[in-house]
Amino acid sequence: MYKYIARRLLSIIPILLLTIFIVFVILESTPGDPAMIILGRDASPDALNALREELGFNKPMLLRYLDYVQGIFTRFDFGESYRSKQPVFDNILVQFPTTLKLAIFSVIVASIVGIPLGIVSAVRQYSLTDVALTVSALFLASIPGFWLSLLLVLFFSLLLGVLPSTGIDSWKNYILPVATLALPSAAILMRITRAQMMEVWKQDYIRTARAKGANEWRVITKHAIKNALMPVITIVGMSFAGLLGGTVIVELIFGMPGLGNLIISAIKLKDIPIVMAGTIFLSTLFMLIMLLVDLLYAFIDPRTKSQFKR
Amino acid sequence: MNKENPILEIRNLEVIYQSRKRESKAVNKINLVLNRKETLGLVGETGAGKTTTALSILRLLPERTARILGGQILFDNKSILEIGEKEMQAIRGERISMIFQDPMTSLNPVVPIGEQIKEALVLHNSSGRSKKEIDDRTDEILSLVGINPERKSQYPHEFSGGMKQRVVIAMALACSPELLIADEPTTALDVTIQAQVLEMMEDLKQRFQMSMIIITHDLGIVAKTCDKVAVMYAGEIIEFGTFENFFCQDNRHHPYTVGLFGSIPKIDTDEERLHPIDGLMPDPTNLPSGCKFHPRCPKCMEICKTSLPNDTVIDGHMIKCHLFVEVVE
Ligand code: SF4
Repeated sequence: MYKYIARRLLSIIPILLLTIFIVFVILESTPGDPAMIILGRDASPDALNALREELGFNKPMLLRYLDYVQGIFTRFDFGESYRSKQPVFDNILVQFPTTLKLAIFSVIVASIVGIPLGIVSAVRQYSLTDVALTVSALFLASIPGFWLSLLLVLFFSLLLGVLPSTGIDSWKNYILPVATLALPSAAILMRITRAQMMEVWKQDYIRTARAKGANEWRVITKHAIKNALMPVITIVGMSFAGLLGGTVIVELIFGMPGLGNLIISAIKLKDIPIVMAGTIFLSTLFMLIMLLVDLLYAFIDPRTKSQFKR
Repeated sequence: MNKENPILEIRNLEVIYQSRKRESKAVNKINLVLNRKETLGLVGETGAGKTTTALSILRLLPERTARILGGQILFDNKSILEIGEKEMQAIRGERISMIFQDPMTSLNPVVPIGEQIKEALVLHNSSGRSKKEIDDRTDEILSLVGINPERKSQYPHEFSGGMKQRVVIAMALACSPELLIADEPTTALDVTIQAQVLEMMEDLKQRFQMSMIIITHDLGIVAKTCDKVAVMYAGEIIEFGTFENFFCQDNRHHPYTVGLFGSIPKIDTDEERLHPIDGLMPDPTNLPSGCKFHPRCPKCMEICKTSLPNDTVIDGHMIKCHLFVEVVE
């Protein structure tokens, strides 16, 4: 088990190196000169050159990549923001909690809504409830996030005036963004839970449980859920990880100073250290979450556990 | 047939499966009587309606597709098709248990086997056993089926096929049921283990004084274990009799049974080839008229094609075939 974890943790490093490289190439091939953006259009050529020298932009890309990677591995130095002149993680860590909160709340809401409804839908297969749920899930899953958020703002903020549309001052500010993020996820989770549950419902061991005299509730809670939820957990983990990097639109629409907002503005301003560090941060997080999900599997499914031992 | 009060009586049971517009007749008005402490062998090819009959007794037929059209099932004189689901749940696992065909799939892969055996005891704890007593009983039943109680925290995938079937049997026996239905209990196992499991079941049956229904397509198993035999074909019981009727004196048999006997490899005659019955089971959505066996019957007569033979009973030995009608007359 520990060997497995160690192996997985180590495998993060090469993936990160590759990720960093790809982002480097992308940034290199996009237009815009950081020195020009920092100093403004009227800056003298000398000043521009001096700044480029300072930032290391006169060196070829590959060398800069190696310098950057070396900085990370030897000094844990991710550089400073061109704009704020602070170490990048000072910026990231200030903005990250907003995103984290959004992602956590959304994934919780999505699970609480999606999973039980999926179970109900499967157990009452082809009933009116099932059809109604399936149709609304299809509808929710196909709505684009920005449109849903605009509708929600229109209705709850402008029309009813009960919920704020921008800022992060109180918990109320989170309701609409979380709804925007959670509803489509809930719909997807519901569909997957339903499919899994229906599969499990056909299994012989469900009949065995009934033959022992277990009632419907017990069959669902003791025998079906654990088997049905395993693939669902992966999806929950993935949507959580996805949400961490996918709150951008919601952050922009609702004016929330989150990580997505930070990275977007950093891209516009060619604030390369922030973009890089943000990418590294998010991809590491993603990989750690996926590792966690896989480990969770082992706790639920004894068959996976014995595989880890081997 | 028998004066004492039977444990199970099936009267005119009729079950169909419906899917879209097709309707298949799985069980067509069958009658069965099983006395206490008797073992009944329910024999027939796949699709003859054996499992459907068994599932009807437990009322575990697939809800959406299966329908019981008519008939009665009396368990201990109680008409169990009419009682409520709650009452049925109290019977399932406590008074009637079932061993399903495939031990590989009938155990829950994510629950330790001890838990699965214990479940029936917990669900039917009318005598108010303590936790400790339930655990002790679980251990006891595990030892009975030849599994070390220390393995109870292990999961199904850690057991071999034969061991899994023992777990399944332990699960079914946990509450000492009055009636045990075993659906092809050994088909998924290899031959050496088959014998062990059968022997164990026979042993446990004596110990618990159970009545048993063994569903099988193997007359060899029937010969080893059963007191009574019912042969099913296309949803009907076409021959019913005692062990003696089938395996000793009697030479009168339904042509289908004769065919089944022919398909047992005879060790003594040194014959290697099997004699499967020619033809296929009829399509249950479109059963032949008259005797359902007539398209495959080597002795088929004109009358067989149009008229359904009555049950002819001679000394408790029932045969549903036109060949034997004259014998009584
Ligand atoms: S009734 Fe006729 S067709 Fe049917 S088994 Fe008897 S002889 Fe054969």
